[in-house]
Amino acid sequence: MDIFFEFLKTTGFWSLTFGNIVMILIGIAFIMLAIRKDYEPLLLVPIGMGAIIGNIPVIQGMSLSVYDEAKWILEGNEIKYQSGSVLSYLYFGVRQGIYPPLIFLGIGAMTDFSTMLSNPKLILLGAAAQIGVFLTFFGALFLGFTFEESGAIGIIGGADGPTAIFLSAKLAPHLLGAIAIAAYSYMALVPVIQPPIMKLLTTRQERLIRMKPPRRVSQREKMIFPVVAFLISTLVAPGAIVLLGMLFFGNLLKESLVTERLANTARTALIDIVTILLGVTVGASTQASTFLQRESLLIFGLGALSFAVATAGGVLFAKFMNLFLTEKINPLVGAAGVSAVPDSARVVQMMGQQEDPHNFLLMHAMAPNVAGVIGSAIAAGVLWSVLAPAN
Amino acid sequence: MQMFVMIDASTAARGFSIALTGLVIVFAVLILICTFIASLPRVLEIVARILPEVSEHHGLVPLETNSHDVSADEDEKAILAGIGFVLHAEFQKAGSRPGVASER
Repeated sequence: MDIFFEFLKTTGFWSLTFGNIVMILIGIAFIMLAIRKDYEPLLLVPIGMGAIIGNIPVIQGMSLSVYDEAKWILEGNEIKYQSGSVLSYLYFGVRQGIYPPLIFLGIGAMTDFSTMLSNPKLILLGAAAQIGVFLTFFGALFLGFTFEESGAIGIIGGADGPTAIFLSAKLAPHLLGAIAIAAYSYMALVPVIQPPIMKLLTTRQERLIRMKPPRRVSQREKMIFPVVAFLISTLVAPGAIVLLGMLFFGNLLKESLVTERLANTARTALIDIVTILLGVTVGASTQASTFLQRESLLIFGLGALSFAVATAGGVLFAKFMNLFLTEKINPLVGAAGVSAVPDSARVVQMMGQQEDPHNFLLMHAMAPNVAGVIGSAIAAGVLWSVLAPAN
Repeated sequence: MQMFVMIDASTAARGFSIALTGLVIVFAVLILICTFIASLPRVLEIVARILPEVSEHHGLVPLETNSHDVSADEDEKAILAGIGFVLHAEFQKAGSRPGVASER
């Protein structure tokens, strides 16, 4: 009987807390949202499953959680090596910011910058949407977060999961779980968050604006763009070297036409493997004891604000540009400046077609959308270089 | 950490300057990229006048015209082989008929 009770103490039921149950329910909710509503299933399913994995209570003395890292311990007079858990080794890629650049490599190999190259003025909408990042950074300071924490929280407004993970791993590793979950949750909720803001800030006449079809872009332009854009952006903001280097490298693999095999691997197998590892380990890092804190709630609140401000920034800047342009921009396109690719562009298309079923805005919206990816990576680079703990 | 902390003026000033500088840098970089992209077609036009585009590409011949030439050559060979076969068959028939061989 004693043995039975001893065994009972080692089961998950014995040490399951209320917080663990809440987090497991959140994980299940993520999986349901992905399956039933089709909200970012490639991210929400791994994160949801990870949250369930991470909230099964572990047995004392067994290395099972993502936080059980390898270490040297002093036992009596001996120094012993204690190996880490399998999850902690997989989480290493998140902690050290290895996975985000690899995801950027895949994104680069997938992205067609043609629409942006054919209508370069739309790039500015990708810059305008970054106002969400910097306003949230400023707001977080007023809520008592440190400069480093505020920088990591602000980047949620960039609507770019890998960038948010990269920056929080560098500036505020203790908030990484909450920031990653907030960033991916809001990315998944783009079709819910953006439409009311877009509708509120535009008139029907503005939503009906039709834009000229994009011009044909030569292969030479597509090949030159990644190299020169990388040089321009990283010479001004060297902090963005890692993310933008991989993004433009991936794009060069695609556009050079001589490395099709590498581009194909980057945009299929590689990005899929990294997404699985990143999703499941980020999910597993949301253990109730570290995640269910007041800070996490504030981060979620600030994240929502950040997304809303970024969307509004893009739409309002498009309206501002229309004051000077002869060929008007449909202001809905500005909302795609947040870099949730391609969801925010799809939302623009959907909103445009609600007013005029024959208005196709998707191609135009892809321009600020990919510019937003570049913009948020630059914003992350700037915040990292200014706020890195060494400074 | 306290909620709604009244931060001191120097923290607020530093935060504001970081936010403003960051936004200006993002705009500056994207404006530079925008200017570069806008001028790229004209630059390429000038470059093309000085250095015309070479159709050869590491010997891989990716241009459509070259691939078309290759397939045209193959078609020609197939047609010639066909004509040759028909002629051969006709000559064989003619050769087997009495009196024809002497006419040749």
